[in-house]
Amino acid sequence: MNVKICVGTTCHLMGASTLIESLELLENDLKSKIVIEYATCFSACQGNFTPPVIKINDEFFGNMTPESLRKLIIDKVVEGAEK
Amino acid sequence: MKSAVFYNKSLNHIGEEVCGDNFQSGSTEDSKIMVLSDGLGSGIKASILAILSTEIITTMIEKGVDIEEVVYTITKTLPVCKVRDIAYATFTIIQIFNDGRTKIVNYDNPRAIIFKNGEIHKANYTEILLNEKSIKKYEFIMEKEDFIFVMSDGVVHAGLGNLLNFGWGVDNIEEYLFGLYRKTNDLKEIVDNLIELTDSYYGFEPGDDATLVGIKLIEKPKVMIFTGPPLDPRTDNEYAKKFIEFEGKKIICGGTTGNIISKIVGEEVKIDISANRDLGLPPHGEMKGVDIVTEGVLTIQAFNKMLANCRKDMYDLQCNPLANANGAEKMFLIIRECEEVSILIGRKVNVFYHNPALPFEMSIRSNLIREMSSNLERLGKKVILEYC
Repeated sequence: MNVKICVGTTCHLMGASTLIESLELLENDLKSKIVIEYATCFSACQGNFTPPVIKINDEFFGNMTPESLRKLIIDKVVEGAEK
Repeated sequence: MKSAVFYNKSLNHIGEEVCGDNFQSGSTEDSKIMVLSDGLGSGIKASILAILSTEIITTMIEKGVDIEEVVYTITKTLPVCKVRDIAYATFTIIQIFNDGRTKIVNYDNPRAIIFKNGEIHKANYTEILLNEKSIKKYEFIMEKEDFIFVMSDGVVHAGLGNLLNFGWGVDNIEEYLFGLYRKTNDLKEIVDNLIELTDSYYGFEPGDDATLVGIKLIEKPKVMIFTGPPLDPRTDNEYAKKFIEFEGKKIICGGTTGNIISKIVGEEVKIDISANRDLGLPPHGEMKGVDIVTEGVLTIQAFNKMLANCRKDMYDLQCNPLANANGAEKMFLIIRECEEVSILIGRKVNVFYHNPALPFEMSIRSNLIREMSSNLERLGKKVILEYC
């Protein structure tokens, strides 16, 4: 599962660095199931998403916090396992 | 085109307010001139002698007089102390042409130290006797990342009769500098390190003025910064092409700008999350064919703060070495070694920048660029702005 964090200006100001830190603190068994990447800018803040924005596989998610990111990753990993 | 960058640092003789050594630089249409002079004695009198020598030499070469003729004229006119039979001022002249041809003429200073192609280089020289004084003239070709170090004898005699019986000596200094050069190609780091050690060999009470000048040859002394997407997306291709084909260093400041260029040239931007994120800056990255890809306005703001803290030139500021530098520092280190800075400024604005949800007011890109341009010019760079 590919998890991309936007590190552009507005996402950074709205808390992308806390998302990065929270990913670093993920449990190893969760971390092993995801590939973490960083993107210069999704330009998503000019559309429908409130920064900070992340992308899991091809899906965008906005207004992320460390807690909501962790929950989202767990949900997606479980979803993937059930499939 | 090749160009020489230089950085010098001095110690004053203990108790003196003014250094008796003087370094001056100049240029002709096709060359850079650097002159180091050591005035006899120390303090104001020595300083005046040294300044007069460097001024006369630099001015004559800038006016088109051949280096050989300058040397002949100056040695005839420089007075010699009748008691000690030494010149009232020594000099080393370095002239580096745009094609790398280099001339060094040395009159009574310690010999120049040259590193070429990663090795210590013993250049051939011709010796001329003028007024019973030996003048050594070296001629060779400098290539990219070759270094020259010239110094006054205050460096060579450091430690004399103290920590080092016979003083440091040029050969030992050469060996020490070579050790530094193998670890880093940062001119400021090498020169500062050596002068600091010179000071410590003197027990922090220099018995003589001591100056070290470091010179490095660089290719591509120009840099282009592309920041902000072009106002009209139909011109993206045109500006991306202009940027990629630019002959010099390349910096992208801005995620969206990076995405545009990445898509057009077909190269991925790779963000290095392990890189230094000091000052709360977003991470920076790289792309093939570009020297660095940073975030936009926040990095430019941080870079501007660094420029504002420089007084005379960009070597005034201490910052992390390249390996540990954050995005703004990397920009600083790249631009420091360039003479000409072209900035391509996209006029498209991210409307979210004016959103009250943002934690502080975002400075508009154009204001930041104006501030950057003004500071860069103050620090001796030529700046070319183009809005797109």
